[in-house]
Amino acid sequence: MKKQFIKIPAVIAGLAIFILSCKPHITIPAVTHGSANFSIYVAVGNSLTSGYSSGALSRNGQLNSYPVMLAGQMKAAGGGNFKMPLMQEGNGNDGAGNPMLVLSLVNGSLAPVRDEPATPLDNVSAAGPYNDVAAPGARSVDMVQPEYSLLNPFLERFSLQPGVSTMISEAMRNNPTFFTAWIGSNDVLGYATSGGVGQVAPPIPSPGDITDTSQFRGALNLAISQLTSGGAKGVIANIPDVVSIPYFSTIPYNGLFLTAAQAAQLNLAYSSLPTIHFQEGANAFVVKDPTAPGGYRQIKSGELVLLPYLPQIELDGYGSIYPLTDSMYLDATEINNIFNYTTWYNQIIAQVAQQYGLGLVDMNNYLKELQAGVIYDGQTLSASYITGGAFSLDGIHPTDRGYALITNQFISVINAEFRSHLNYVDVSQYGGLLFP
Amino acid sequence: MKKFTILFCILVFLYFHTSAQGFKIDLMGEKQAAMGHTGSGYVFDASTIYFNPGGLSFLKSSNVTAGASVLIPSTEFVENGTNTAYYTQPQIFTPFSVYANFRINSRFAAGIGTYTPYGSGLTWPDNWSGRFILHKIQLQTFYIQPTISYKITDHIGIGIGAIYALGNVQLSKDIPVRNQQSNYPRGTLTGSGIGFGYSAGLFVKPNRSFSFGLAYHSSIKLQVNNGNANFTGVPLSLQTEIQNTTFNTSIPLPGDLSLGVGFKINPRWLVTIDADEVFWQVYDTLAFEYKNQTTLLQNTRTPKNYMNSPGFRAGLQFSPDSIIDIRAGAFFENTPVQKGYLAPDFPDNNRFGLTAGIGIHATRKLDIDISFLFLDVLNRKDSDNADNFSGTYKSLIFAPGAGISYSF
Repeated sequence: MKKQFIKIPAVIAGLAIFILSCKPHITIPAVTHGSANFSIYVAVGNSLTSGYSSGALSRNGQLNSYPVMLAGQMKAAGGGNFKMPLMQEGNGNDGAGNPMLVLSLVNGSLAPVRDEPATPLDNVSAAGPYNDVAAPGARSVDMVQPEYSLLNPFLERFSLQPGVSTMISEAMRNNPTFFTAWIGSNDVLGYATSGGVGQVAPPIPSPGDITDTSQFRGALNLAISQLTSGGAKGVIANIPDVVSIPYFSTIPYNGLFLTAAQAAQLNLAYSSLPTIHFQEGANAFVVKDPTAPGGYRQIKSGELVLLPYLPQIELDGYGSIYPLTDSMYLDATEINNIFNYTTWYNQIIAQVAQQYGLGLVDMNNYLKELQAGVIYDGQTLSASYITGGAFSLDGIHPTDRGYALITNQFISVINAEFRSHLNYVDVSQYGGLLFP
Repeated sequence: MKKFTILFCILVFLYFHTSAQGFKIDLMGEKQAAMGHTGSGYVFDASTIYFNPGGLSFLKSSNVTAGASVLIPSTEFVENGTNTAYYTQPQIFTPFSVYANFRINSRFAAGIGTYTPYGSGLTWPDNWSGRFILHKIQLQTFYIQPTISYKITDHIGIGIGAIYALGNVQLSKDIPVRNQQSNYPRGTLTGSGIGFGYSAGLFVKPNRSFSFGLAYHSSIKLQVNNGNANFTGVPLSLQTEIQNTTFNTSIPLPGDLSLGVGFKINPRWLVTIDADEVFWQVYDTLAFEYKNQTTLLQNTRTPKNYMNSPGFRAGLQFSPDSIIDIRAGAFFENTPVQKGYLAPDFPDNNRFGLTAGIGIHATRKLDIDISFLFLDVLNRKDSDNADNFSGTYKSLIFAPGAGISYSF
């Protein structure tokens, strides 16, 4: 009996040690590279691949770009150092000397304003080559154009020989073993953001035109054949239909809210044009259209008003007293052109993916899902302007959080295609907009 | 025209749809806790007020029993497809119980008990991936139960008790809109409430060595009125939308039915076995109603759809002499949480418990008891569909405890 009493403190001490040493333990599957070799990863593309956000390229945006996140996850699977052509700290630059947009309270309402001053685009070519060679504004046809490295200030700042180097030649300086390519949006986006005033498939497309499909195919083929020439594997992403992004989806066609008195006033002003009619409540905007009787009409459901013209609409009477001009909206024909070319480009991207054995990331489909709203780790993310959380203030480029979602789309395709096991990024660690 | 300058179209920023349960841990008596928390079919001391009111009249003397445990839970979470392990912050909880019974005569006994059937919580790390679902949850409940028991015959006793429940609850989470300092606002709901219920029991002791019993606790709705909803770190531009207000909710605290036996094989060995069912089905929906609703802060109703969950328990007591009792037990409890409803507030699964303890009859009147519980909540990979939050949870719980029992 005495022995048992002596044992009690020993039992208690033993239990205490047991408690302190026992922690729950969950076995985490090992990270593997599968059939891919992530040791030298390069990213080619446009603004989306450079980390452009809220209307400018900034160091912070670059550090939160999807290629940086992806390279971070590849590191555990044999990935090497990933070098960005980083800008200096600051508010960024849109290529024309403007800084990024930030959310501000203007007369009690939330509105995007430029956060001066801009960060100069310093030349960093001496420290090249870089793993992320994406250039904001680049189209498919620009990837393999030597002159383009003189024309595009983002590309010029890290190119070895501007005027001779191409985006792809800069990528190939790394001797990549793996690449991601997400290109093609700008072959149609420039046309869309300028209200469809450009040309459709002209012989020599300028940035506001739609690129001809055969030129698109030729440029993409050339770029991918060069990227894969050293045996690199990779994935390619297709392009979203632009109507799914806030730049085009924010202002409803019938966003003109009028009182009865305002409606009566406008009806009087437009009395010579019987097709135009206003009523109390929601009304379709008035637009300039040379094919309409009298040159004016009200826009129809499905036609799109461009986000940057919101101040003119709200403050200067555009869309009501004055018609929206051709560059302020996309009409049905223009939207149809955009839709058709996006579809054709995506067919070409899918064919190229197949031809070169690349994984295909269906961003077009993902952006559609996002527009409808996705719940992720308890947050609702959508393509709603400002409040959606996924898109930055320019209404085109994602927030850091949006880029994290995109990274996970790439990872999912990489893992499926190459039987690798890369971990997803923790989306909650990446933020959306800052609210004042 | 201002209508679409601030487009708050999708407004689920603030929905609190976490429940308020945490873990239900059975530590209502030190002797029973050491024996797999069995006790509806055997009378140890005044703690039978909880375990089976019908057995109270079988106590041979008046008795006061008190005990407390130190509950140390720890939970790990790994989100699907990631390699980051998040551990809940170290926290301890101290469930306790105090019971007193007075033997009125050989047939009647009356008693009162207070105990803490639900009292636990979880605090996840500040920057964890589920921060917009839950940061912290804590629930404390005190049940006060006056009880009377009547021995119908020498072999059959019945008892009934009224339960007055007091509770307080705290929930917090982050709101996914960053302020200018790049921090997320945090919303915290705190409230307290009361509820009423009852307990009843039937206890049968056909002979000296064998007894069995049936005990029931009703489910209780803890009605929380005018709790505080507080928000900190809210960006200036959203402060009219996200304002401190008050809320009402009602938290169902499930009751249970248990059937138990006690079998004294000989003066040295006692075996107890219980089977029970916890009525988690009362937890079908959780609703929060706010006094000042805004476009960003709306009332919520969240389906929880918990299932009733059975448990099986067994205990063993070995008494080598008249001074020492050595106790051990084990139990298995089914989780009430259905597939697709596994949320960070109650990352539950089927649980396996092992218990041990020692009782010392220090004097003829005084018992000193110590108990130890180790609870293994099995690994569970599942999803919280409402939040699209999937991952693997694993919890371990340790609870050493001690108590005294004095007869007079």
